[in-house]
Amino acid sequence: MKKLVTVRQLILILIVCMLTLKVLYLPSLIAKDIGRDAYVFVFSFLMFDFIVLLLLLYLFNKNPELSFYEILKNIFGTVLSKIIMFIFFVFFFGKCWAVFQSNYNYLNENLYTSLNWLVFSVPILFVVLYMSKFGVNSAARLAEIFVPIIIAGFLFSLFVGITKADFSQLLPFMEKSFFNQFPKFFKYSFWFGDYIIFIVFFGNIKQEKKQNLKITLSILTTIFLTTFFIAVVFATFKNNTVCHSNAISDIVQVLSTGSDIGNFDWILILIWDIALFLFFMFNSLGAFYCFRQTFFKKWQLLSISIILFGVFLLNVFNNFDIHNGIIFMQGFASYFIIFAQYILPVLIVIFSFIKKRRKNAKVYLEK
Amino acid sequence: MISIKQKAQQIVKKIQEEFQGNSDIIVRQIKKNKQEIFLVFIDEIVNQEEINLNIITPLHNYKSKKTLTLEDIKNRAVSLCNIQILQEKEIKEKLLKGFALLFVDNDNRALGFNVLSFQGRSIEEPPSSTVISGPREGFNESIKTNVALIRRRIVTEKLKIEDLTVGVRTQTAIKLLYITDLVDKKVVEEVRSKIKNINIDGVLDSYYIGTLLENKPNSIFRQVGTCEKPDIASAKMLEGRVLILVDGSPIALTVPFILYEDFQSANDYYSEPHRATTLRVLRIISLVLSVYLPGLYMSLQLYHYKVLPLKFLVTIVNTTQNLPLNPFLEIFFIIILFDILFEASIRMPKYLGIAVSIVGALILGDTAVKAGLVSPPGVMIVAMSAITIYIIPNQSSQISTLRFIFAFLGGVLGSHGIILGSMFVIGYLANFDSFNTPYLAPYAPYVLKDQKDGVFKDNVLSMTTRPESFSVLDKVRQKNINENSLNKKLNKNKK
Repeated sequence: MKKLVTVRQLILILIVCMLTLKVLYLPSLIAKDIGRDAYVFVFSFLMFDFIVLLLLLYLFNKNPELSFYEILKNIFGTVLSKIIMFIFFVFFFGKCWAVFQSNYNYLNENLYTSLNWLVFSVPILFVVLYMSKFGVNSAARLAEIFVPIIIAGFLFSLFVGITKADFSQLLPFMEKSFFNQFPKFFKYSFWFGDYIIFIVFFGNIKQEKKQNLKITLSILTTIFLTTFFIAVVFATFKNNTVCHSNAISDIVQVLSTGSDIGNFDWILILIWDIALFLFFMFNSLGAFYCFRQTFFKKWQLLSISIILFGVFLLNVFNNFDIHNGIIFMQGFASYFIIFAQYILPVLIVIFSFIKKRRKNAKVYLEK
Repeated sequence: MISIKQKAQQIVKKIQEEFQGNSDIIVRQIKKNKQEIFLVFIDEIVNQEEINLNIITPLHNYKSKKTLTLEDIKNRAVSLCNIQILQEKEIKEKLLKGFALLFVDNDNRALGFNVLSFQGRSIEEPPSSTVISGPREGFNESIKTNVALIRRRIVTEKLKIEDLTVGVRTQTAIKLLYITDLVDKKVVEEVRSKIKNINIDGVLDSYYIGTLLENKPNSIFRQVGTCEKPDIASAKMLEGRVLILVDGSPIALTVPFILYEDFQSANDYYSEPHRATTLRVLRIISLVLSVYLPGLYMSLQLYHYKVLPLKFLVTIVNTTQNLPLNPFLEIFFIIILFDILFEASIRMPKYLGIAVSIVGALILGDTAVKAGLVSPPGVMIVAMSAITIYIIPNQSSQISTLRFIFAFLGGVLGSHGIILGSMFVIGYLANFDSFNTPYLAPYAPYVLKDQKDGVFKDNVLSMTTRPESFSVLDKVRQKNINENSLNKKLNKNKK
C-alpha cells in the first residue's frame, strides 16, 4: 500500500518552509533598504505567494492522483516538462545552498565559538541522505513531530515581542510611496516562494474533507502572523533592527526572567536549528525529486548524493559565508527566482486550463 | 517409527528402546482377563495420583468378559475427561508432552490421557508492572493458567485461541488469542504465517518469538509489544490486537505495537484522568532527561558555555577546573561506572546487593568526587539520567543505548550533533511499521481521535471508539454514552 502524506503534514511542511528564514534573517536585511514599512512589503510578497499557491492547489485538485511531472507531461509533453523540472531543480538547489549556508552561519554566530565546517556539514548531509532513502512520507512524519514545537517557539517569541514592542515606532505609516519602494524589494524575492515545495507532494496526498479550506486558512494565518512578527521586530528594535540578524531569538532577549537558570533565547536557537534542518531537508528532497524527473529515475541514492555534494562544494567555494550568497541571490538570481516561483507556476496553470478547454472542445466536436 | 500392529508388550519394548537411558519412563502393566494392557508415561511431568485414581483403579474395577479395545476403555472404563485416541505418528510427541499412553494388543493406536502436571509458580504481581490500585494478577510460566486468566476476563465466544507449535527440539506450545469481530484478519494471518515459518531448534521464552516476528530484528527498537498482566493483555485485545502466549514465558506479546504504548501504564486506567495525564507528561519529560541530559551537559561545557547564566557557569567551573578528565571522558566514565554497578547489583545475590549499593554510592561515588576524579554536577547529571531511564521500564534498554549515542554526539558535535541525532532517530522511527501500523502513531501521523488516550488521558466515558491508529473491524467501543445521558438515565431510574 502506498504511504500517503496527510493534509495536516502538508500544512506543517508549508508552514515550516514559509516561516524559517523569514523570521530569522529577513527583518535585518530589509531594514537596510526599506525601513520600518518593510512588513507591508513582506505582506505583499506573501500574498503573491498565497495566490500562486492557490493556483497550484487548483492544479492539484484537478489531478489529485497525478504527480507534478505527470501533470506537466500531460500539458507540455516530455521535453518541455523536463525543462520545467530542471528549472525547479535549479530553484530548489539554490535554496538548499542558501539554507545550508545560513544554517552554518546561524550556528557559528549563536552557539559555537568557532564551528568547523566539516564537523557541521558531514553529519547534516548524512542525515539528509539517510532521510531521502525513506521518501517524503517519513520526512513528513518527522515534520509532524517537530513543526508544532517550532510553531510554539515562534508564537512564544511573538508573544514576548508584543509585550515589549513600541508600536508607535511603526508610524507614520508608509511615509515613502509604496510603488517607489516596491522595486527595491524585488531583490528579496529569494526569501519567498517557499510554497513551491508543494509540487513534490502532488499525487502523494491523502484526500480529506475540506482540505482546501484547511490549507488556505492555515497559510493565511501563517502569512498574517509572519507579517505581524516582522512588524513587532521593527517595533521592538527600532533603528537597530539591522543589527539583529537572528530576530526569532533576539526578540526573546528583551525578556528578563530574573532567573539564574537563564533566558529562553538559547532554547529558541536550538528550536530554529531544527527548523533550518527541516527546511534544508525539504528543499533537498525537492531538488532530488526534480533532478530524478529531469535526468534519471534509477540510482536514487546516487542522485541525492550528487545534489548534496554539489551543495557542499558550492559552500566550500563560497567559504561558508551567507553574505556572499545573499549578494549573488539579490543580483542575477533574483530574476530567475521571480520567473521560477511566480511566472512559471502561473504559466503552467494557464496552459493546463487551455489544454483542458481544447480537450473539451474536441470531445464536443466528436460528439 | 514405532509399529504397533503386534502384541502390546512388543510395542512397549520398542518405546523403551527409543527412550533408552531415560530413567523417568515408567511402564505399568495391567492384567485384565488374560489381556495385557500397558500404560506408559514420564514420571516427572504427570500427576500420578490422577493416573492411579482415574485410569488404573477404574480399569481394575471394570468388569467385562471380552477383550477390551481402546474404544471400550475410552467410552466405558476410565473416568478422565481429556482422552484422545492417538495415531501412530503422534505417540512420541504426546508422551513427551505429559500424556499417559495406554496400549492394547493388535492396535496401531494408543489411548492418550492428558495428565500433565508439574510444579509451577503461583499467580503473582509482576515486579515490573506493579500498580497502586487495580488487578495485581500477573501471567506465569504455565500457558494454561495464562489462557485461563484471559478467559476469565473476556467472556465471549468471539475469543479465538489458536494452537501452534514452534521449536524442533522444544516443541513449545504457542497460542494466538484474538477477538474475531475486532481484529484485522490480515494481522492474524501475518502473525500466523510468520510463526509457522519459524524454523528454530528451541523456543525458551516469548522474546524468541517477538524477535522472529519483527520486520527489522536488528533494530534497537522493538516492534512487538509485551505485557505481563492479564488485565492489560485483555485491554489490548479489546482494542483489536492479537495476543501471543508462549509456554514457559510469563511475558505475553501483542501486535500491532506502537511506541506510545510503553508510555501508558496500567495505573493510568485505574486512576483519575488528570493524574494519568500528569504521570504521562512526567514520563515524557523523564525520557527527554534520560536520553539528552548527559549529552546536553557535555555540549554546554565544551561548546556552548556562553549560553549558561554566569552564576551557573561559575559553579560548574569551580567544580570542574581541577579534574584530570575532560567533560567528555568524565561523563562517559560515570555512565560506564553506573552501568557496571547496575549489572553487578542484578547478578549478585540479594544480600550482596546491599553491599554493592554501599560500595557504589559511598566508595565509588563520594570518594571519586572527593578525590577529584569526577565532579559533583557530573555525578548528579548521570544519576538523574540513570534514574529516569526506569520510569519507562519497557524501553529502558533502548533509552540506555540512546543515552550513550547522544552523550557521544553531544561531546563530539555539541548541540548541533544532538539535534541531528534526534532527527536521525525520529526519522528512522517515522519509517517504522509494526504490522502495517505507523510506529509513531497517533502523533506521526496524527490521529485526532486517539488523542483521548494519548498524552492527555480522557475519562472512560469519553473513549467511545477503539484506536484508529491501526486497523480494527469494529470501531465502536461504547454506544454514545456520555456523562449527561448517563446521569439522565440514572435520574429516570430513581424516579
